Amino acid sequence: MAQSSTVNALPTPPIPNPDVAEGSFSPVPEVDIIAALSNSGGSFPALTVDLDFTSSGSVFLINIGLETLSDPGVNSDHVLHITVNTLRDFGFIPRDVILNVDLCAPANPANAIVHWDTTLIAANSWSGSFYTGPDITSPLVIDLPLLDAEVDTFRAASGYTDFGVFISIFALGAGDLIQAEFDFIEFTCPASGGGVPLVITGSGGFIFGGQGLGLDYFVPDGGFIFGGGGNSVLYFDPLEYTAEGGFIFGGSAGIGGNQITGTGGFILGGGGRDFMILSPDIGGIYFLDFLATHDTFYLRDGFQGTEDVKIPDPFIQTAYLGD
Amino acid sequence: MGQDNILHFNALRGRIKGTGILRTRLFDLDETQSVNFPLINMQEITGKFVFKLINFKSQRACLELKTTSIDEIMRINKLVIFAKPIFTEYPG
Repeated sequence: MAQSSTVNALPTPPIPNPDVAEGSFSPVPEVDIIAALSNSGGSFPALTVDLDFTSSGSVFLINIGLETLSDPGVNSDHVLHITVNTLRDFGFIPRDVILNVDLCAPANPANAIVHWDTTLIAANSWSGSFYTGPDITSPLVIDLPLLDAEVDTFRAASGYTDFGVFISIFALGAGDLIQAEFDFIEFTCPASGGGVPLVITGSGGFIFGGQGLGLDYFVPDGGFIFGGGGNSVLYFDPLEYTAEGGFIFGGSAGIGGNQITGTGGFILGGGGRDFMILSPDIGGIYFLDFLATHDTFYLRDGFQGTEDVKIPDPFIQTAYLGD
Repeated sequence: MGQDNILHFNALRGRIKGTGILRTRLFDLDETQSVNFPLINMQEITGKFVFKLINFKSQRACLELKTTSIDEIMRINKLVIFAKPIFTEYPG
């Protein structure tokens, strides 16, 4: 197991004494692989590892997984989704269990930007309790709802760089025993990157006013955006149609500009920093050719050529016939 | 003649060439009723007149011919509408 290199001043871990009965002396984590120790857990030493370890002690357990992630982003529901796979637990008495989740900048893992204390998370999500026996094969899934303030805090403080995720489980009661092994700690956050988009997934409709960060867009045809993306320079936040029709009134100040990637539509106002896209666009200059059996338009989007369209149902009607 | 009799329009014959499908129909005054001829698949070389039957009764009838797809063209040199007076008046 590779050792972590991101540690602070390390306290000297106590030496395990196998002759002393469990629960009768001070906390002694017995770990297969000790990566590093830090003080992120208050008065408790904290173990930072990447992968497998086994820990046992009489008073407490500290399991800390660390993963360095790219900007995890925030999904639309503001929920951090954490999964711990293949947990083994032997003889643990669940009492005063606290799950700590810290989001930290990797350069300073001891100082959490955002910190959560969640009590009894194990009881709720861990099939009701820890138990003595074989592996707990079901992943431990932890969903932590985030408030807007928390989102802003850890995103802004991090500078949109990597995050360290610390998962700590404390058993504070004296006499609590635990042996646990974490094969893998997985941290996922769907829809990473960008802010919370405003999306209309059905046909038609409109967005009136827009999100300050991220992407404002329509997925299907039709509709329009009136006003839109804010002025973040860190995000690609254009106003965007991905299908036909509609228009954008007002525009994004961020990079990327406004764009209509489908046919038709128009943009009033535009990208403050970059470009506007209109493609393709069948509007343009009408081209008359006496020999052609169709109409032709010059495409005005960068003069991409011409597009042939049918003459609208040419017809002949006679005078009324009768006697 | 000149009595505004009710006529039975029953056929169309014409020299019709082109490409695509020619859609023809008859409709009466104010288009209160109309009826489509069978579709005519136009060709550049036919060697014969096109003849289509229809069943339409009215005092007056207007013939419409049109295409609806791109690059369809029609060339019509002669059209004959077959009609026969069958009634003198509508019921009072």
